[in-house]
Amino acid sequence: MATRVVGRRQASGGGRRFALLTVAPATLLLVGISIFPLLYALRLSFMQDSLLSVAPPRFIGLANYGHLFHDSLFWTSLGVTAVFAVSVITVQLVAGLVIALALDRLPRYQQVIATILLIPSILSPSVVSFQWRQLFDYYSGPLNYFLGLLHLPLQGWTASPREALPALVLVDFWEWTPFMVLLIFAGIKSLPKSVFEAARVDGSSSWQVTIFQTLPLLRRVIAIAVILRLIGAFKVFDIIYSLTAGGPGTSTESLAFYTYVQGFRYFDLGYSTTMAFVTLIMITVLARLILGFMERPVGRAA
Amino acid sequence: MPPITRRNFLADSAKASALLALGGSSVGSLLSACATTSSSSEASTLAVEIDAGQNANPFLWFANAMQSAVGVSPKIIGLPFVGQYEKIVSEMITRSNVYDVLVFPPFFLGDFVAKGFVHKLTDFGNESDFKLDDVLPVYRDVYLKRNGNLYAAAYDGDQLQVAYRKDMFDKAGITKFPTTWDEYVATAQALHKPPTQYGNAFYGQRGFCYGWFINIFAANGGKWFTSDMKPGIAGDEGVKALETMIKLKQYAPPNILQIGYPELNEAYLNGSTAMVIQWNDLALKAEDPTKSKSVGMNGYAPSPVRNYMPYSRIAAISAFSSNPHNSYKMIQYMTRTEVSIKYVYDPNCGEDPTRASHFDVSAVKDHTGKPSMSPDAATSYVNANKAGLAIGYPELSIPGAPRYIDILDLKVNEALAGSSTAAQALKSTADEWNSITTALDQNAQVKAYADWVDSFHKAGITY
Amino acid sequence: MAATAPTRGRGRLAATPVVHAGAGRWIAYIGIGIGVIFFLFPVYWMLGTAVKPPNEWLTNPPVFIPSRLYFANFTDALFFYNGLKGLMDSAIVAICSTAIGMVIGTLAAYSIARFRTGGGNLSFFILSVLFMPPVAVAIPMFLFWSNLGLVDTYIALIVQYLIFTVPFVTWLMKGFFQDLPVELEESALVNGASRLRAFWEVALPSVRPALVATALFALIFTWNEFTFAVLLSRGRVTTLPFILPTLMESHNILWGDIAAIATIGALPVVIIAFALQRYLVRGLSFGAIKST
Repeated sequence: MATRVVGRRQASGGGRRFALLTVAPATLLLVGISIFPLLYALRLSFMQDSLLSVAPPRFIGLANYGHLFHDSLFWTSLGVTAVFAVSVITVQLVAGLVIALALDRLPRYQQVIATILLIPSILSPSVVSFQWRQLFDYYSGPLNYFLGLLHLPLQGWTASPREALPALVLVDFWEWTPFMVLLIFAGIKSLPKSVFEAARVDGSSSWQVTIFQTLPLLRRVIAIAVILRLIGAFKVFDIIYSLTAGGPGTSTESLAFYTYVQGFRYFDLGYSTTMAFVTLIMITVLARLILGFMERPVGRAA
Repeated sequence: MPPITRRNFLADSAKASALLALGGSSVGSLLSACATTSSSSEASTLAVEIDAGQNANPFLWFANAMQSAVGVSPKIIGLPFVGQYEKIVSEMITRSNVYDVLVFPPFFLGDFVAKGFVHKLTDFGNESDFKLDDVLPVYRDVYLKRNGNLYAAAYDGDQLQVAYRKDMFDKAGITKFPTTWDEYVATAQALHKPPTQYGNAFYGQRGFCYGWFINIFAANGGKWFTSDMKPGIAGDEGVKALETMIKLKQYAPPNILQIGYPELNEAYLNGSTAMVIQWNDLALKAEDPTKSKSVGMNGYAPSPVRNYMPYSRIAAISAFSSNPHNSYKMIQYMTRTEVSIKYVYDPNCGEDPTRASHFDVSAVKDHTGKPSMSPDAATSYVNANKAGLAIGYPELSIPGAPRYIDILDLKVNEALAGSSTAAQALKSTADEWNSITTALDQNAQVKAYADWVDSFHKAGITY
Repeated sequence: MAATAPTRGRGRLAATPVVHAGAGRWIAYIGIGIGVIFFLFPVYWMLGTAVKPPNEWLTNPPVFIPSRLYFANFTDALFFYNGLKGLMDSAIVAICSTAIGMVIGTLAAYSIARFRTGGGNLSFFILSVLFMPPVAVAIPMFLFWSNLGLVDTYIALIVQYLIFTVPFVTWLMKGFFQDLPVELEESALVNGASRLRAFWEVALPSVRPALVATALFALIFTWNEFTFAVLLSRGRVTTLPFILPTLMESHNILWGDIAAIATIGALPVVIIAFALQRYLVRGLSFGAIKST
């Protein structure tokens, strides 16, 4: 907290012009390329505007928002997105912590292994979907081949209404856990060494150190990681688009995918932007909550 | 295999085009001489919008020949198959002149005509340039025209077709090919010996599974709409059809809900499935020893009772093209009888017969003149194509068709996945269809549908 | 490595804690081993498919080791399917957008961290741009670029990607600058340096690892972006993520060629990541945690 106070004092001390000049390009640019289209989109959400209808666009107030409540597919897609988001964030956080802590115990090659592990997060989402399409293939995919070797029943993966969403969680887990590992590992590396030494003097076991000393200190990095993954999970589109197209049935119809269908397949711009706004509001509220949790004083570890 | 052809195809197409240039130059130079007055200011290299991949190949194979015949050549803009509709529409609503020639499935045509995205072909020449009396009526009247005006030329004539393993039929003691859907289900059941042999397969993924439903729906006597645009889908014909489809799922590979076009080809070509309904170009792959394990053992037949004709491809001139006259020449050239007959039987593109004169067993060759299959197989294939069109059932192509179809596809898929019953799925399809019709304007839709159904009668289709 | 760290006044980075020898360490070894296999197997499968001849792409049982190395997939991908062009376009767009985003974002981050410009609101606004689903702005943006006649140009994609890179860079760098003790800059100011010089010669060099790590992630994002790449292309500017789905054609999937083009597309970023690996962990650990 100390640095901030100094900073503020400095600002009033004459750096004001510099402060405004440096923040101006980003602000102007973002206002230009995000506020303009966003306001345009907000206006659209109050209109009945389907590009393929011959009728001219007209203002319909909140009717699009009202329609959301009666649109069962919207609720389905919200449910799919919620389940997906909670699942991926939980498993990625747990696995990310475990792997990062394990990595920290390696005597050597920590950085190399962290970088090797990072490869899935570096790949393009279209590449990721392509790879998993091959791996999930019922007939020629290696996953079912391994199951066969172990005399386990072959799985439908993305072909099964019950397994399709878990299969997508698996893909997302594979793609983004490494990024989580890197963030948390970096967080561990920035912890003061004294935390561990003090604990050892106490005679705490290493798992006690982890749970009672390390985790609370990692709160901020965990919040950052969770926010980034929350954004990713709400916007999940590419892997659904190429792996399941929302199916079987509506079992993987996510909010982003449904918004895309309304906007780009039906060209119902009014309704599609309405959904986009509701998504935006939900992420904003959730992110605020997480940030609030992160900024709270740390308590006894402070 | 595609890779081989891909690598050789530049050489092949050079050879082919040299041959064609000799044959076609007299007609071609005549035509281009006539047309120069109107198109001298237009570019001769034209942007052709088409789904990327094998369906663009004919344009490449005939690029040189086209250049010498009519003085134009294509620049292919290949779009991802799944994103084709949204991409064309995005460009068209901004009136962009980025595309000259548009190649797309007829179920887009209703929207494109209603929104003024395409020119009438007859604005730039005469209907007689397209020898329409040779084009199969079901494509000609239903897929190319609107209100009696010609908007497009037929590039690819799709229909569903049953491909089946004669050896597996023999082994199971089945002597008669099913002629009703009940028999079809019984046959699939008799042929089903998992996990080494599956009774049947169909398109079960989201995207096009509705087509396999309509195929049965049509056989049950179903109609898309009543004359006042009440959905025809939720009646007995529909419910029974969807229940048949769900029954067939039991005799299909376990990953049936993940089977789309390439997977369906694969399920048949790898020898694991006894009988599949697929687009008719599967035969060309099934008779190609580099792709198939069942060369010489395949039979081809139309679906029982009626035969659905999903997709297909037609070519039209973008309303915003700066080169409409030259685009006209290109479309006219590519769909000529003597040009199209060289690609509609090539296993390395997806195009299928569109003209009566294509139904010629001796024409079943790839674009270089090499026979695509044995004479026996060719006879069976050509006959199945002919018989299928005789009972053809066209795809909805009124304004809003992509949207009606997408909802239907979703609901059919839900029922297949077991999350709703056939009746529930179709009931909610009907509700959605009603709101689409209302949103698009009830009266306009009634009129567009009447015009479309009218074209069936011209084409001699029972409906 | 530790040489640049003391500015943080928090002792040296890191340190592997002294661990009970034996069981704990072995569990760590085994866990990491399983992790590496799990995360690399799909990558191996992609590399394998890229060098498999066509008749081994889809077989039962699957082919784990290609019978021969079939490099025609790569020549096809590069020359026939415009992979080379895709590589170039991706590089131009990603490098330009990352560079511009880094400059603009770092300046803003410094301003927000040091002067609390705009209070918490500006900072949250910039972050919230990241929340926006691309579909919400896709159509308006397409109309915008179309009216300017800039669809299918490098400029359109580069500027479009700033919508991600600027907030991302600003948000991450803000944290790093906040953790940077202000005393050094203050003493530079006292010695008569301008604000700009204090920023350029004191603050920036101290956060170099963080700059590198942030830039790498911005680069990865722009290199891989799909939605706008497809929307804003008409065949002239074709980045790799645009080319890939055109190979999943309607009638058969060219597994080998797709794997080859995917490999080609992944290589540059993976190489850069490995080249910069020593900055990755250090860069991100720099400001990720505040001890108080």
